[in-house]
Amino acid sequence: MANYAVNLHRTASTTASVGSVAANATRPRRGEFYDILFGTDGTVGENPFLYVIQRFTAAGTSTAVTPQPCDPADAATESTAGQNHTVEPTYTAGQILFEWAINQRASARWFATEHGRLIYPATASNGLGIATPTAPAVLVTTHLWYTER
Amino acid sequence: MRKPTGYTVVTDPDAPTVERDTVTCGHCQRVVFVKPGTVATVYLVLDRATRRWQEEPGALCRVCMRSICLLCHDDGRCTPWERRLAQMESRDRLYRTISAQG
Repeated sequence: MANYAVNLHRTASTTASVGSVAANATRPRRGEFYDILFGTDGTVGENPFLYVIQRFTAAGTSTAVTPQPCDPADAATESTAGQNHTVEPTYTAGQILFEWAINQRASARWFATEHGRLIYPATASNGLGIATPTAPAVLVTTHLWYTER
Repeated sequence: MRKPTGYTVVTDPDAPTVERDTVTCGHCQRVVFVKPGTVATVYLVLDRATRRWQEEPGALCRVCMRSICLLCHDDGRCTPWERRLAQMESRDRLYRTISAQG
């Protein structure tokens, strides 16, 4: 069991997804999101934002990002992370785990106790995606920490 | 709330900082915001149309004794998240076994 940190940017994508973390397709392991930061690093504007975290069953097409172990002694993660999606993950309808409406000027943080973590299964290419379904063209950054079991 | 399972902070330069306890649904893992200072748990539910928070009574599953979201409360059945997780993973193992043999 090890903790990992990953930073997901949406800079050039035209999809609503900001980024995703998924179980490996051949060596899937469970992952647990426990700390998430949302914010924008673009031009300041008065825009309402809806952030969602949603389950998916296929990771779509994206630019790969390498999550970093919080303890350098830990092995590299088995999970895969991606940003700047050109093809959306296959989101599961009705499986929105987190939903927050905030202004673009604002930043938000959510963290969970051991019993409140968001878990994705050790199922090939299943995972959790972060998206802004109402504002797909705006620069958004998300930093999240997860535990892999 | 006595035992929140999460906490959230929103920092906005043009508005007061918002801090909320959260609970994660014991059935589906949906994160629900909780109204602060309520003796009995009151959920804050986002109305997508108006983007405003509406207050709803909290929900507790009396089978698994966990806080659950209102959608799972409406469903009325107790399927703890651990059981759903095990079902997803066993289904995936079955598919991979079949594809490896096929």
